[in-house]
Amino acid sequence: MSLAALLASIETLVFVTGTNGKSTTAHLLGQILAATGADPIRNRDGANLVGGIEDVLRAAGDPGARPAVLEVDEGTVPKLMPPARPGVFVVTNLFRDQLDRYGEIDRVAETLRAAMALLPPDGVVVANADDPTVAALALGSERRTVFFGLDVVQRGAPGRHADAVLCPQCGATLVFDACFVSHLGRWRCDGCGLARPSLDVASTRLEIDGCRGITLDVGSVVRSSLVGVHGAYSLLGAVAAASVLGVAPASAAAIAAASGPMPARSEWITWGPHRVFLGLVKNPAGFEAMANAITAEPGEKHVLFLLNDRRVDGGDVSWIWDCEVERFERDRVSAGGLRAEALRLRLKYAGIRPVAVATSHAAAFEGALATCPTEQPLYVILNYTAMLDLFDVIRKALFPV
Amino acid sequence: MITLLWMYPRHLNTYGDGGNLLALRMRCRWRGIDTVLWPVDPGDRLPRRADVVFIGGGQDRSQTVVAPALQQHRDGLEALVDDGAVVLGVCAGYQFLGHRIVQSDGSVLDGLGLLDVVTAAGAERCTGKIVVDPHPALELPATLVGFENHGGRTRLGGDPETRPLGRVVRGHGNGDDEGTEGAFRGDVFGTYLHGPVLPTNPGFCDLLIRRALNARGATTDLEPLPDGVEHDAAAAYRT
Repeated sequence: MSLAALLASIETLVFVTGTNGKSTTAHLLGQILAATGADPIRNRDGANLVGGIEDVLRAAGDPGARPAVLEVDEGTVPKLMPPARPGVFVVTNLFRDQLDRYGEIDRVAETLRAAMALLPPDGVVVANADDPTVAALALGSERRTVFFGLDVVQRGAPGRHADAVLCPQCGATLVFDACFVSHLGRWRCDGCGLARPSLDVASTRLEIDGCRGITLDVGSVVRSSLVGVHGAYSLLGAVAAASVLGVAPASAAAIAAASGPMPARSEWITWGPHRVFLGLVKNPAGFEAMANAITAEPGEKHVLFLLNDRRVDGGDVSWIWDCEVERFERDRVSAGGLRAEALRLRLKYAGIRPVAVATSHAAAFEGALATCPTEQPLYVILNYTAMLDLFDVIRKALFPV
Repeated sequence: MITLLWMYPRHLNTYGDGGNLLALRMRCRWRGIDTVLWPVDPGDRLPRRADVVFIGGGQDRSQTVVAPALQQHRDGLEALVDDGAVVLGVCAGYQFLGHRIVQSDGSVLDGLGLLDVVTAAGAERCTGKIVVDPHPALELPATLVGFENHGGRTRLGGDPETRPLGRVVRGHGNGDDEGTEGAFRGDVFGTYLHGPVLPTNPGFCDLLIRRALNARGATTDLEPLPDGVEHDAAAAYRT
């Protein structure tokens, strides 16, 4: 069977796309559906391009009989949309990310707009209402919408590096009554009247307990080991998508909250006598949320940055200059990865002298651990293939050949 | 004291543009020179004096939004340049320093006319690492390196005072037939290089600081700084 035929044969098909939180949102939705007795097909951990999706559908045997929850790379959505006509289309958020691969946010939004026009007439768009670009996409989709977001009182304004400060409809500067991270918040446009849509699935509470978890209120209070405001959005997105598939938000939230994180998506691991926190970050918005969570932890922190520039990471690492690494100026910072030298430069101009720098992931990891007392955790902030390389280091140490 | 004007940081700010301002500030601070950062939003008044004016990159939509604002600031910016301000435009900021930008839909945005260049949208985006042999008149110590990502193609006009910033060794640059990259005219500079360009090319950053100080009558040269970290980072673009 061709990929087209495989995709077309799936009766309940969910696409999860957007810049950040695809994997976690799809993972949580899969867990919710599994808890209701379904056996969802899932593409695990980043296999979100055409080849990875084809592999997982082939491995699924007769895919038509099972629901499928697929995270799909923003650039891959148009390649699958005809023939796939997912009944549920989830958009998590749109941030500047790998500009050399994806281009500008407006361009990605345009691509998604065209793809969404191919959704079936009874298809449902599940969208993050707090993201102006995403909300405008959903409102213009001429499909049923389910909006999720945060309904909490919190001051704040988009930072200098926020992307979507202009109204997606008229171009005027947006007004934020609340801002939770980057450009996500309670927004409105005084130019044309466009505003954050009313929320169908919302949390009226957001408590971020450093890197240890979050507490939300989605009709009932839930505590999750997911980290930071991005963790909250992933949970809400999964609950909103589950509601379309007939799972009540309160039950869905409880199941999602009991599920752990994806590997390296704000995950704690034990390494010998050390506790290590792995925080995947690939763009300034992710960095901001991660820095919020880590700096909320008490005391001096030991932080390791790992940066690669392989094809899937994007070859342009200038986004690290849009990350406020200055927030770690009082901490013990080390750097590594294929672009360790770019990190060292960024740190120098932040006034941070790293305790260790190494291109090799193994050397960087060991160097950071060597200066980190065992009673204190090591926080590792790393991008996608740096995560794969670090896993390789860990695997080789556990299972030496 | 050096005043750094940052034009439209909320609209024109991609590819780590803030790093260029940070490089200017830190390389002044390390030499005991005070700096003041002055962000300018559309509609704001310009200060009476500025030593360095920076205009960064932006998405097409942001570019369209700030174009009228830039025309309102046009006379003020010209006065600052006449008064000795050094100007750096990167990517969209570079294009705005020219006469006009013809966008992919055929619409035209007016520029400042500080450089004799014209930009028009090309068919393909120019994306990747770039290495540039700088114009000999700039007496820069090393090739300029960075990352480029732009759809526009920029042509230099007939003005003999507007010269290319350099020749492309690797990459696209202006995308013209002669393999040029960027442009400069007096103390007005435009380039497609980010990375960002100034921390990665400390010699170029120091050139801007030196020119800004010279315009205020300084005669002593800048104190050299240890730039090993900068040179290691730049080397990654040459491999």
